[in-house]
Amino acid sequence: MSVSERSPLTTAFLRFATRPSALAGLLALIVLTVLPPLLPDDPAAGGLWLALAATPATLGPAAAAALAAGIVGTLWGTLSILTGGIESARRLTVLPLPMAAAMAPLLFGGGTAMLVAATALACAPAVAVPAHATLRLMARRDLVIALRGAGVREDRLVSRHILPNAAGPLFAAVWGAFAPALFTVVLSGVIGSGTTYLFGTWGALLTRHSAESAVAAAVLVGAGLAAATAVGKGLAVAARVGEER
Amino acid sequence: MSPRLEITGLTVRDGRETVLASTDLTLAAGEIVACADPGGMMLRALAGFLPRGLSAGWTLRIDGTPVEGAAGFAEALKTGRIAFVPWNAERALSPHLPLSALFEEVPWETPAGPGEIQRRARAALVRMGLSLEPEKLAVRAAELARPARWRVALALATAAGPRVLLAEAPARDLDGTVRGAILARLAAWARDTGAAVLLTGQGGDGLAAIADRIVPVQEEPSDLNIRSEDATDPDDQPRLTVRDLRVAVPVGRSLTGAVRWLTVIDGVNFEIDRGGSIAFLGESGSGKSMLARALARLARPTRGTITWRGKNLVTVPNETMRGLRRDIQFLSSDPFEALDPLYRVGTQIEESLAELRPDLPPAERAGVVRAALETAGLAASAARAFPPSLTAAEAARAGLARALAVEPELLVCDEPLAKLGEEEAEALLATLLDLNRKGLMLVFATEHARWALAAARRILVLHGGHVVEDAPPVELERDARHPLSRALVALARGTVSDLEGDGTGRGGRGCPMRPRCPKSQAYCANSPPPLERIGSSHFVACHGWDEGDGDE
Repeated sequence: MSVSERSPLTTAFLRFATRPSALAGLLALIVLTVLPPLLPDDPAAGGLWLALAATPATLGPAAAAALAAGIVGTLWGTLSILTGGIESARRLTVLPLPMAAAMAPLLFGGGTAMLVAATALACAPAVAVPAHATLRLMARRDLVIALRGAGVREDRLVSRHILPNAAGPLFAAVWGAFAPALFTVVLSGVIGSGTTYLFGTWGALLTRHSAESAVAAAVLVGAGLAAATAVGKGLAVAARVGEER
Repeated sequence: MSPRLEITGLTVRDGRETVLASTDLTLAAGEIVACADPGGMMLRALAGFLPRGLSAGWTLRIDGTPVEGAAGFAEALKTGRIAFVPWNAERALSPHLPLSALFEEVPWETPAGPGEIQRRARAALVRMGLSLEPEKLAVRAAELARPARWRVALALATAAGPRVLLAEAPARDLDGTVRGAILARLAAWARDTGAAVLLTGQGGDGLAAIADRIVPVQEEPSDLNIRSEDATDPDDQPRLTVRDLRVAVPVGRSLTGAVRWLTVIDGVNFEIDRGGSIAFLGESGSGKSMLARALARLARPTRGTITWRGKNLVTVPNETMRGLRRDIQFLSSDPFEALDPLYRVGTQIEESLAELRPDLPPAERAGVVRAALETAGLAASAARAFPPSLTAAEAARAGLARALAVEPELLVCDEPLAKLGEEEAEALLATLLDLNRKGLMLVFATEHARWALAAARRILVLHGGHVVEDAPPVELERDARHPLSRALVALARGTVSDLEGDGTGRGGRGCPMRPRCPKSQAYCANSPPPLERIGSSHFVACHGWDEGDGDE
């Protein structure tokens, strides 16, 4: 027999790296994150400068909200395994919660912190549903039966086998909250709610500055959402570890 | 007189490489030929469905008339001279169209109105063993069970009376007994109508049972000639005793909030002596896997006892049971699901050793891993491999190595050969039998009588969670008395069973087998038959076990 020593992590990375859309999306997000601090200090540079300068105020709250949604959603999905159902989360995913989240700072005050918290809560059901499915599938896999049969203790079974195997799909599920969170932050800028930084957010630029900056902001919103979605799909493919045979 | 079907020079090439060497076949009217074609190239070449990059050449004649190339083949399909049944025909049925609409697409030789089409459709369905009331032709394929969908697919293929039927392993994914009944219907149709039938598949697809001729491309496995040798010490007390075992699983709650249970195993009794072996034989849903899992306490029985060396495994605390796992190891049906894809094979075997053989110094574990891999038939280098990089057979042996590393006394195998090819399955079975000869007790769950007859010194045939026949393999092979046992043994012999229909056999009064049993009598509906002794070590649960010749 020929022994391939390629680890599952390497396999997952290669799966991600061989998807041009996922790579391009990741590259776009890196550029959008790295570029703004390097911009020359020249507000007269035009609409693109303004849009790029507004990137941290847009991606920052979106990333924070997505991370918080990931934590809440994963806990929700895990608890729903123990309590029996995920129906409530499933029903919430069909409601226009991002709209409500975008309006929350306008209604209740609290600025960016309120926007992040409301967005996290709005996006959490979208994480809870796939997290629940992932953990439920893991718990029912024959692998768990086989490992129990091989004498693996329950605590090791969870910490060493179930969670590491679930980590990839869970990360992909958490990433899934990023695009809706970004959309919510942009929406809040459009309606003048939430972030009030020096250069505003992409959403604020869409309605409150020149046509040139609005076009640039619209391009960045489109690119950001497309990049977040493409990376999410790449992660979902990469997370299917063990299915390469 | 011209043969009904004549294929000459069928060749498939991948660039310069020959994938299928030149093949000639001639079929007479009413003849059924099975052709071993594991790659599935043969019929796809004729039908023009080859993957990109492959090319095929052939000449084909039907009743002496040439069919010219892929266009000619398509024309013959359209005019109904040829019918082609792909391997996934039952899944290819339009799920949301009523059956009557599916039959309207059939290339009828003579035009027919809707009423006539319905009549012909019913006749074709009945011929394939699916009796439907006239209004039931409004049923959609999606509403039918898989066996019924296969019957519909074959009825559609045969309805217009094609001269030639080409089929890729029809009903391959069904239980052997159900598949056998469907194939028998197909064979009867061919002989009645004089159609030539060319079937392709591989060993284990059950095609040999109806074929007049087998084109030997791949050697068929030697069916019943491997025998488990008796290593049992008759003076020993039973090592494992099972009494009145019941396993039930919760399936939801009733309106009052009470938990509803499905009984998967009920009233099972047996024992295994030291070094002995037993096989659980049954169709899908018979409970054999659940019984195997219950023995390793991977499913919790709700009643009864499993006594292992004086301890009742049903009630021992979890910590005690973990200690007993060194004695009782479990082999899963899916070799890839037995191993964690994230860790190397060697690491996983060492983990098992650390848990179950804490007496073994860590420095010695690598040597034990190496020895276990070699005993299981793998090279020591397999320890470095990650499971996804292994083949199914290698993964199955890696799982076996993990089980053997802790030096168990009993190995519970839950359909260990199910996901392997014929040759790999034979080889793994030989390894298991060798281990059994050396004293390892073996429990072996399978749906193939061929493996059960070879693997065990006692066989329990299960249906609907109950033991319906319990006998040594020689007696079961020679004189099976329960209709299900007879059907399963017939399949192992390569003949067709007389069992009809399918089902798990749960619920209802009377004998659960009676809707499928060809010898069912009115009294069979009165009560379920008890398991009664009919020989020194032969038990059967059938009201009519003594009616008719057991050897027919």
